[in-house]
Amino acid sequence: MTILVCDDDKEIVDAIEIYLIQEGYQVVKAYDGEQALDMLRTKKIDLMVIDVMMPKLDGIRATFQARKTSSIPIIILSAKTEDADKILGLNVGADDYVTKPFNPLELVARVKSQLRRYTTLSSTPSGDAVYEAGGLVINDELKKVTVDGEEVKLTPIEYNILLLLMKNKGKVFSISQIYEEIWNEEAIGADNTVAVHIRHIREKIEINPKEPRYLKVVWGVGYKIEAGA
Amino acid sequence: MKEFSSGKKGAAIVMHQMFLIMMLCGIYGIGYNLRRHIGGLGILSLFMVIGMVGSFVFLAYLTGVAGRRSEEDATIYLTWIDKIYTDIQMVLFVAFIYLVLFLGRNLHDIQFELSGLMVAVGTVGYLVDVVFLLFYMSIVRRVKNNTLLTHSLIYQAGSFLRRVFISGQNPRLCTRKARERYEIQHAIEKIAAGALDTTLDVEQFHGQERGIAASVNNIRAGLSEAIQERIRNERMKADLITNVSHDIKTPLTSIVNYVDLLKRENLENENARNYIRVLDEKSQRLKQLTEDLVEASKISSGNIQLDMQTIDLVELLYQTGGEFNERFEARGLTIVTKLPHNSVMIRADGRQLYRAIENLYTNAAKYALENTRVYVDLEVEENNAVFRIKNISKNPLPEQGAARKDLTERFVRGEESRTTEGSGLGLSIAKNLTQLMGGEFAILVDGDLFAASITFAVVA
Repeated sequence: MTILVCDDDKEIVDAIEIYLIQEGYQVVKAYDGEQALDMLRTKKIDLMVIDVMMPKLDGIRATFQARKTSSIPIIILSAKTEDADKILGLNVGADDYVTKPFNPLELVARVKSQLRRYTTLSSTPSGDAVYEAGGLVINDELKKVTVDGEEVKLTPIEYNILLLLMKNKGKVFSISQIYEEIWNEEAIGADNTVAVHIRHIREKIEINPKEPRYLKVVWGVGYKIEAGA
Repeated sequence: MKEFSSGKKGAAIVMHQMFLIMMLCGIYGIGYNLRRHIGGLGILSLFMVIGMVGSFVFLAYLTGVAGRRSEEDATIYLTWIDKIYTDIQMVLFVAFIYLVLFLGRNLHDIQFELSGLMVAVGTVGYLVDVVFLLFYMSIVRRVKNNTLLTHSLIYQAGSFLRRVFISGQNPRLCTRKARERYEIQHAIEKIAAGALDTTLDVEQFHGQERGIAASVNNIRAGLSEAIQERIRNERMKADLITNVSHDIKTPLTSIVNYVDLLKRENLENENARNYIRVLDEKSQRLKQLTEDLVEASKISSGNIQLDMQTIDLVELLYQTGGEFNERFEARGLTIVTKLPHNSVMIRADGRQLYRAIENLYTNAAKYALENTRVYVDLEVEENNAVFRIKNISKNPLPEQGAARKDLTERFVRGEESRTTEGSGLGLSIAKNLTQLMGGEFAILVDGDLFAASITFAVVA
């Protein structure tokens, strides 16, 4: 697998290269948007990591251009943390967004996840007892949960909570609703139990549990699985 | 552009008067000749008819142009005579006519020669017409200006009585001066309360009040300018902080990454490993600091979009508790939570309120004395939902006013030293976020007890 890393800061590119090589990937490097587009044309690239603020052609425009001819996963790197920048990045066709300064392990996890998703996309099992939201799949017949093709081990209660939310994608469940559904008893003066389980599920299925992609917290209302994830 | 200049109007007046005198001479000449059975009635009748037609034509023209300055300008320009109340003007005019008639009665008794009669009729006719024109043109201007009835003593008196007895207005406000003072006072109160778009129309004020009104306008403009300037500065500061933070983040990314790579190098040297640990901690702290800095400056400059919804504060607190229980357990802290059994609905942006409350929990998790209890409760007091979090601080807290106030100012933490984790921006962010959403934020320090509260109005 070959990964294209593009940033105008050479040291950042080199560091990312070291991490990716340690994980067994091959790395090609570019230092501006035009170089990146050249490499995409001339080499076989499986995934691109690209910075936003760069000379000549910035990452947003390069992504937009790349998307005209290529469907490989693209991860945008940026020093900006505003929601608007993320939305812009994802709108022009990026698959994921990582803010600087990033945790290198998180970046590697996202690269892996995107690649797995890209390569296993066609072989997603389907059936009556299979529920999916993006890369998150629950097969209720096998009682198996996978994220981007990789199996995740959940406790029975965690599994049941996730199944309830997956069966009702997009619907927000309050803590008492979840309690009544899973424990089958009335919630009298709830406590943190459900919230703690939810956090544990997030820690298992999300790359960054603080910015969940699948299991979203609707503060003051409840929890839901993002319908469009 | 067709102008109605004073010259044209003057010429029309002169023409009107000439024709009028011609008509009067004709009328009186006919009467004189008939009484004496003299001929020449034909020429006098012709005089009379021409005079009548001519004077009416010019009067009609004058009616049309009264109060106007040009064809394009539809404004009605009033003159000094139009300031006299309509009814008073009428009384004056009627009195004048009576005077003329009284004099005219005496005139009849004297026998004139024809030529003498003509001169007398012409002179009197001319004088009467001057007064008539003054009166008539003024009436026309009032009609055009829609003030014929309202600009009269009777109407003003009526409206005065109506204001006092029907609308119940304070009779002291019925003089112009008092009313204008009242308006100025009202405007000043509004400006003081923050309505900086309040302006007084100086034209509406008279005498001393006009000067005061103009000064009030100047003060308002100055104040508004100063506040705009402050908002601009605050925005610029926020932008500066954001930009600088972006610039810091790029080298920081390399530092974080290469420190991490060094950590993986399996260094033998104990000292080197220690140094790397310090570098690792400090670079992580720098990362946290830049992120908090951007957040704090964005929030304090109001540069943040709120998505206000009706949310359940009880649910939010259980959710927050779920996020934090292990962090508290790690430091031997026990959370004692006391929440109502029922929902407590408030209007807020759930995500931002979580960030505010998250900062208070983080604060407790970091600065509470190990192996103590942290109390979290929510009570509904007189339609207000009051959330409180209390903990025993591990370091002494500032007791006195100024230093305590600083707890919620940027960059200040409960302790003086700045060696521990955290940026010291947490309480400031929590306070500003709460206030942006219309809630109240308070901090209470009593010895080592630290208590923070967030209050929102309960919605039905």
